[in-house]
Amino acid sequence: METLTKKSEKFLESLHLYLISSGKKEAEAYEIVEELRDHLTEAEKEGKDVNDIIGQSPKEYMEQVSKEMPFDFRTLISAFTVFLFGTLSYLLLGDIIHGGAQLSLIQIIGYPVLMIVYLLSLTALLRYTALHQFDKRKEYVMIGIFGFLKISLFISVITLDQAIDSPVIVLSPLGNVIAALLTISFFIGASLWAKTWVMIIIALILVTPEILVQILQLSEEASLITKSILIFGALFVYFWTINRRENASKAFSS
Amino acid sequence: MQYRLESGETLSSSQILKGILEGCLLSIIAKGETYGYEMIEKLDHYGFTMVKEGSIYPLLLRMKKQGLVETSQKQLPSGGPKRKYYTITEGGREELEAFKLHWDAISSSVAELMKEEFHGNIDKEE
Repeated sequence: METLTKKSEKFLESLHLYLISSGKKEAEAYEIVEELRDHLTEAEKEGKDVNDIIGQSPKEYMEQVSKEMPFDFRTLISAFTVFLFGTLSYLLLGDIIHGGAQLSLIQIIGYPVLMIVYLLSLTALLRYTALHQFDKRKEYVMIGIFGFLKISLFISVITLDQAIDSPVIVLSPLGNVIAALLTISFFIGASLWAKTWVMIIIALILVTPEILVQILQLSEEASLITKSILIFGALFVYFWTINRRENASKAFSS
Repeated sequence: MQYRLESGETLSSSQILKGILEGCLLSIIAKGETYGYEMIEKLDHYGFTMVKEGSIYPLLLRMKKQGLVETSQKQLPSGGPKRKYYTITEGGREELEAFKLHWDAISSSVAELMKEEFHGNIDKEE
């Protein structure tokens, strides 16, 4: 198996990221990246450099390629829906187990708006980092800032919700059961679609301690402490396992 | 050989060359199923050294979108990843015929004009 130089790999990675965050179809982006990988492999055998192929400005080249590919509304809308329902499902599931879901008008409007703002700025960030070659550390800092943005957006919706009285929709017991079934089937459906267990595992990690403390009928304080320890402990173990497995597979492949 | 335009950009990114390059790619693909790197080797062979290798891919994307070419992924006999091959379509052949007519007209006019220019210079020197 031929390996490309780091510079070429970095370029292909950036191109892929740029095309995906510009709303191109995943399959089409993959196709052109693989085609260029083939070309670069042949070219490097003859001692050519990636800049001999794409010219002096990777940015310009990426924009040229992107211009020839159609904007894919379907992927964008499905990604947005999955993201929106995913977040809503986590919120709802917690509420339902806690004794019943209720949503205020501010939450119903606030969360989708929050998602749109967040997703738009995230794609803008991804395109920006793809076009401009940053070192890894700067990239992590920017991703960190965006994580902070998401949290502060959430906090502002919650604060706004508490500050302003808006009509509240309270689900009936039957409504709760239906909402629970809907969110659970959403998790299963999305997991099958994305072929990953991540969402189900995180939902279980968030939900199981809640059910547990209700069964044990602990006092409010005891249940809060138990829940936090269980949730953080489980999340830590889960991400630690993933990280270890990824490192192991990297060591194996290189 | 690298032509430079006034703006400092190379001719490879100019509109004229894009149109010519598209016609040449069609002609190469019409000669038989081929892939990106092979097209570059053939262009090189005919002296198209002013073409940036990567610049054929945006063109190929457009030509596929316009239905002039079709692509298929094929496993290489040596194993490894698949390679993308291009074949010409009926529409592509028509486009190629149109390009040939245009090109004949343009190139003979340019050749005629340049011939006069050449003779003119000789006349002046005498």
